[in-house]
Amino acid sequence: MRLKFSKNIIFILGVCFVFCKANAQSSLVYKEGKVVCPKEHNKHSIKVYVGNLTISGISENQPSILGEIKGSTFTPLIPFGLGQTYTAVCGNDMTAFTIPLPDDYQMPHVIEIYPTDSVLPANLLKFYVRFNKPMATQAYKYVFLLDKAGKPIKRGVLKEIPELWNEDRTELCVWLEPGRIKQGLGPNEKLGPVMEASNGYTISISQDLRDAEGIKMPKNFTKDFKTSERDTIRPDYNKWQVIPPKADSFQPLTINFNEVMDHGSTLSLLSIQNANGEAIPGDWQEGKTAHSVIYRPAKPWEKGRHKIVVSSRVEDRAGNNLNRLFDQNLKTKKIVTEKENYFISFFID
Amino acid sequence: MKTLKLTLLMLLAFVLCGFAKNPDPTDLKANFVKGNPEIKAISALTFGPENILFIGDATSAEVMAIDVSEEVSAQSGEVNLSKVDETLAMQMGTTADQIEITDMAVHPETKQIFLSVQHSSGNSMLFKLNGEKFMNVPLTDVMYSKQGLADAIAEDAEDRRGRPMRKWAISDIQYTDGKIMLTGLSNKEFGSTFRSMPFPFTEDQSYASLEIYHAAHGQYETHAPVKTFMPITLNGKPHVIASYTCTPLVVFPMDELKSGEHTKGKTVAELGNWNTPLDIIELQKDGERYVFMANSSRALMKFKVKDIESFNNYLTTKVEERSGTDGVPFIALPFVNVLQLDKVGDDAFVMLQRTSDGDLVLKSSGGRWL
Repeated sequence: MRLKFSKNIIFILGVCFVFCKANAQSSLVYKEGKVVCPKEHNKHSIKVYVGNLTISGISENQPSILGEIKGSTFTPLIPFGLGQTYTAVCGNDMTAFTIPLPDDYQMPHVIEIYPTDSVLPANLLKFYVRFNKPMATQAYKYVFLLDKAGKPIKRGVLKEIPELWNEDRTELCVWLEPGRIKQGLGPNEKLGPVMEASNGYTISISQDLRDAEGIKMPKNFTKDFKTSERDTIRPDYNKWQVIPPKADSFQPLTINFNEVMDHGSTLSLLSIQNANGEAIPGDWQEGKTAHSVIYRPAKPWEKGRHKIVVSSRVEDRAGNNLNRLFDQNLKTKKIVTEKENYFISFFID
Repeated sequence: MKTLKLTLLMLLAFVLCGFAKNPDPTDLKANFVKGNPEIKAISALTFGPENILFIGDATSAEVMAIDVSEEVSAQSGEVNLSKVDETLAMQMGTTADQIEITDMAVHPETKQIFLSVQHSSGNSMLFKLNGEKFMNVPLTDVMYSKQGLADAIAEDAEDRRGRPMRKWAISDIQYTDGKIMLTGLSNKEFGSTFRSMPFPFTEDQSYASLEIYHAAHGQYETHAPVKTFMPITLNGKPHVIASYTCTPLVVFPMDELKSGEHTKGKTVAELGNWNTPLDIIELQKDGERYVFMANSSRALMKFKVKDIESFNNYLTTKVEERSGTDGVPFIALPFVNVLQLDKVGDDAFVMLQRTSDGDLVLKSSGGRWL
């Protein structure tokens, strides 16, 4: 009986010890992006480390996370990452914490790959990957071009360049290896072109690509396409069809191209002017088909003559611009002009 | 007496204001202000005179000049550090696979090493090496001036929120003789532009496209992005020596770089097509000048400047052996996977190198390789 009583006392003391220790530990807490140390430990500095560590696991030279300490609060210079685990130390207190992922968190995913069509020229130079939210940097290592067997094509995607993101890192421009696309260059002759005509390929974005908050995509994204012959013709703006809007309306102006053009350059290198040469403010967007773009004006259209200013740097999908072919042998056939802009006139009534 | 004191104070204030309004034109920091330059991404670094660090920020499309006088201290002795990426990542609260060391610059006088590091969330930080420890260099309350890359980007279409739709990723930045030079790539069209702007900053900017003769291709070639470059004096005249993604080494006379025009460079070496140049520096020892170039797939290359100066047979024909090299001779030094390279004084260099076992090391070297 006495033994049983003693056992109970030990059990209760044990529970109390664990509870009290837990309470003591919980006094050093993670709270809303910061680590707060108990007031009685103010004389100690707060140190926060990456990972779930034990005291013995923290070496003397272990770098701690850079942050600002104000009073009893530590704020990291770069916000703690979602889903990441950290260890905070303050005096004799130590606690590990994991930044929770909110229940309603919007997971990252690919919305679209441009060009959107499923048949692309064998000498496609670049494509664009649009995401639903800002993504992490170092994205090229997660982008692959696969052959029909699903194997990554060696030197298919150009990776050793500064990353070509848009302003808010929701759209990534990816170049295929130009040295393999241009005829006559070493990579082209040794490995052959990146893609052959009449074949099947896949663009693959690995799920290991993270969003800007450090969360990976739930699954890989792939786009299958087939290849047509090489595109070796310069874009001809004379063959573009302009559908003018009505005056006094916000109707979009439509340009139907005679071929699918490069997504990025058409949306950024076209502009519209009125008869006085004044720019018409508005916004270029993708059209209903891969062959078209539309322009939505910020103000209602005015009656009269207008012109579309087409920069000579506008490219088709193979990187041919209005002045020159991407793959131009200047020795045999010199078809190069050096105009800065071309103009397409149209009337609004 | 009080009136006299007040008058003297007003006179002093007037004189001081007068000085502030009429800065000495030779004072490089005359236009500097104190505050937060609001750096979004450190894409490229280079030092100028008087402790000025130039930062190319591709995200904000600006060049910042920062006075780091209070940050620099002498770095003595050889540097040999391992696990550089892991150490920096831990300080940034993440793991090595989530950071990228975007550039390295060595302070010309103190030889202190500065590294710019980008976290995958997009946050950039500047670090300096103090002894064997990396210290964060705060950039939110500094003396600075900055200049936007006002050119083709500003003239291009903007979306409804007024953001430029074309972006320009800065691949390299250099300072020489009152001028900042930059190269970079656009996210919308394929090509490369070379820009220069005076420093101290004014509204003047020029941008020229560089045309090179690509020996491996056997024709003139404009569509190639410059990866790395540096100013260099050749035969007593200022030049730019640039290297492209397919690795030709090209020289351009500085006085031929004219705004808005194509300039045809002269290819002096064709270094093989399986490679991307990463960094280029000039060193000298015992009166002999050398160019060192780090590469993605080839060893560190060493050229003699006098060979470049005397190379008159600028490459005009195809290199017959496709993956071969041609032009100015070079020596391949026994350093592979050198990701960042900068000079430490005239006769030494420091490099960030990925070793065969995956470690990222920062180490200095010199004399014996010159």
